[in-house]
Amino acid sequence: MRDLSKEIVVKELITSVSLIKKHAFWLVISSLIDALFFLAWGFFTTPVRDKIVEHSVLIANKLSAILAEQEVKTGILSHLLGPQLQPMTGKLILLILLLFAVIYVLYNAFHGTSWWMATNIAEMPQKYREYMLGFARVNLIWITGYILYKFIDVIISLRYVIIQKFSPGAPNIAGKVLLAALVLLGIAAFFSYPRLRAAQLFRTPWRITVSLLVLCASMFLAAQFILNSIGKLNVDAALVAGIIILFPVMNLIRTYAIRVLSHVHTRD
Amino acid sequence: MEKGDWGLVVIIIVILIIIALLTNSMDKLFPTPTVKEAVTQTLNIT
Repeated sequence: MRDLSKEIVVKELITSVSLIKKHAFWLVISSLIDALFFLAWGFFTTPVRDKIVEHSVLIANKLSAILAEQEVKTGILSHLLGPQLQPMTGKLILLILLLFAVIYVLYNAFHGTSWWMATNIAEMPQKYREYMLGFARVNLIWITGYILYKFIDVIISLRYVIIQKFSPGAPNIAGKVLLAALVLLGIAAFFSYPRLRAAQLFRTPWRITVSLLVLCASMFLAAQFILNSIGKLNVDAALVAGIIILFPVMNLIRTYAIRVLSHVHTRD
Repeated sequence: MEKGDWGLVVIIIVILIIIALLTNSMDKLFPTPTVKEAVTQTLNIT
């Protein structure tokens, strides 16, 4: 019978747990940065999101007033880019781009630092400056993919609303395909962070990829399950448990991924 | 962390402060004339 403890994915999981205990200082700082990210996310993005909603409602109201005067209710896009609505549409596009820029900066600042700390926990330290610049460069690809996803998602969702009027209960196949593409994008991004290589996912042997993903997802879902269970009993207790359980688990997952993928790199 | 790294940390913090100021003055940067619009529309109808 095969000795599983000699497999990279199992061996490195055990090593990662002991490294997490060894580097408790980095773990605490990294967990605090993760917690701060969630606070910053709400603080920075909510005002922009609110403005996007305000502008969307305003445009929708004006558009319906314009369409009400017409006999044929078509040409929404030409109205949006027409002289009456163009300034508002321009502002809306500007706000959406601003939101993506804010998300990009926040994600790089907080998650980049957390991933860099994970390289220290994994005892594979890199220079902070080099790592952050590499992290920002790799994330340019993923944010572009995410922006594309969001725009295609809006188009597909609108089409699905129209399709449902003609054929209620029709499956949203395009939406599901798009969701699968988003999951793939997320996985590719996760695999790119340890070595800061965008194509790392496609270089990793599939056996390691699958086992790493299954183990990481299991750890994360187990932490979520514990939090949900505590949350049902007491919401305040769940908040405290979130800091104690969820964020260290996130750091364990990062450390584990860095350790496993470093082996894959040296083999290549 | 090396000496130069702290410089980057300071730059990141400054960028975050600028973004915080920017996102929290959205009403001044992108004013939505909802009240004005509503009054104009009501006056037009009446």
